[in-house]
Amino acid sequence: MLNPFDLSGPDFLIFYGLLGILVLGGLFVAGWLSESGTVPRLDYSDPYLLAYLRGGEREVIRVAAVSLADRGLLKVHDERLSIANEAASNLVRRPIERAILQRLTIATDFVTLIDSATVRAACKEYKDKLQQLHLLPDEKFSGARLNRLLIALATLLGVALVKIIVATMRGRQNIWFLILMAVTFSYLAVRIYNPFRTTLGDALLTDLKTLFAPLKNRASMINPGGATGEAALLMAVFGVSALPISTFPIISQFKEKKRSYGTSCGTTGCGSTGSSCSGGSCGGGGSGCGGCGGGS
Amino acid sequence: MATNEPNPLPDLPTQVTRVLSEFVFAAQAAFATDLRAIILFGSAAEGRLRATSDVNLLLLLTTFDQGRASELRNPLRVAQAAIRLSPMFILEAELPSAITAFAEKFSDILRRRKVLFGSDPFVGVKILRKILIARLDQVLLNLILRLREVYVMRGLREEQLAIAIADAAGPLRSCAATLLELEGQKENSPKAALEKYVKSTGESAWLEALPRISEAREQRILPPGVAGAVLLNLIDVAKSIGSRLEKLREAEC
Repeated sequence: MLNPFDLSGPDFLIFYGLLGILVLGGLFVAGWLSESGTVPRLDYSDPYLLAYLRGGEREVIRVAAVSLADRGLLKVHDERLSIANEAASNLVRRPIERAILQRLTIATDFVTLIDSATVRAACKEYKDKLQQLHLLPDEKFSGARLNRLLIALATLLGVALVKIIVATMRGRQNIWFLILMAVTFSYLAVRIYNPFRTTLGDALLTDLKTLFAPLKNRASMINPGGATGEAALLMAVFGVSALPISTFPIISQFKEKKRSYGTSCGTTGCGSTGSSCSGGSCGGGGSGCGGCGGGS
Repeated sequence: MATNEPNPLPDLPTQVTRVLSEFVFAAQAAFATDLRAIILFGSAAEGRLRATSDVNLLLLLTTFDQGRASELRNPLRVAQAAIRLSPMFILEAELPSAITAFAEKFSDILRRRKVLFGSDPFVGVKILRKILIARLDQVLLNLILRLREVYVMRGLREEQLAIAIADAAGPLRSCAATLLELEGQKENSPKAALEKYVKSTGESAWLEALPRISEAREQRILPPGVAGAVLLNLIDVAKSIGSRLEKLREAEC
């Protein structure tokens, strides 16, 4: 049987390339299979739960803030947000809305609001619920993901290391391209191993987008004022930018200016567009992001 | 015929069927024994729902209990957002007076309805001709006055006129259907009724306006320079229906 470590340099690189693709594919498929199943029922009437599923804490806070502004409970002046009247926080039902309004008794800008620990804490109930339903990875899922990543990295780096040792012992120096491939494959493995949602979560979000596609199509007909839940549900499922700015000019006040938001996106790498990702869970390129852009 | 199981829905888009079924289930759970019937009416009952159509539902109750109604608030918000569900909550005791007060609307319900739960409360219901004629006259006059106002108020913005045409087309079609019914030419589909009515007048301008009305309802926009004329045509058609109604009334007196 052919020993791959006896292959010549170019042939081994081809072998390693195929191995890398196989490992990355395996990592993706294993994750997909282990996290799939019957899509659970979710309470579609809570827009903040849906917003968390799409984009995490930042999107919950953004959707809630825009919704409160649309309902006239929150006002914006010179990019500073504040409560419209003292009784506002007693008029709302949901904890996240109350937390935002209580935080805004002192006027602040949107970025500070989004980074507020008390407001973020009010989002925890959504995370817990989505994790219970296996729509977001819980500790068990995260542990399994990490195990799969470690196996993938061990395979990729181990094979490369053995070949480098063999090559060095045989007096060969041209190992840099192999090192580059090993680093690239390892980087890609780290990027794909921990997506924000589980496979079930992705399936449910797809279902939501199908269900509310007609709402998106008639977004221009939605009246501001919050009399119906249409604006909040539209924002929750498709992002704030799905609302037409002509009828909801207020949304322009709820975009995050470019700043070092990556610090709140954990270590898995959000890239430069992580501003609307949830903290610490932006793997997979932040597919759940989209509040600032066109929605995902 | 009384039944406690939801009846099969008419030919509707999958998502509409799904959301509607869930809402019917939620309404049964919320109102329990207070719920007598759920009736789908309008274009959805015909299976001719458009993307911009409301899904009209009548919920017949014995009593409107606050606690039970509150349970339906969340499902309704979802259904309203997803499929434009528009419910009417009416008590059994209110039904006779509602049929009289809104005779034109209920004549449409009598023509186009589908029982989704419970027994059909409209079996054997007949609206008195005199009441129907009077109410149809009111509806037509209201429509004419509203369209005139729209023409003057929004006439400089053509896209707004197209939306007004789309919104007025439903009531006008329903009026045509009611008139034909009063004349003994029953036509269940309001769209077909308006076409039949307009053809019977022989007015070529109105005939040419009919496809524009459909276009406005489907696209909510019309080509430049068209909407104003179509809206004025709608007013004329409404007046014409009113004139024929007047003749009917005189003949019966």
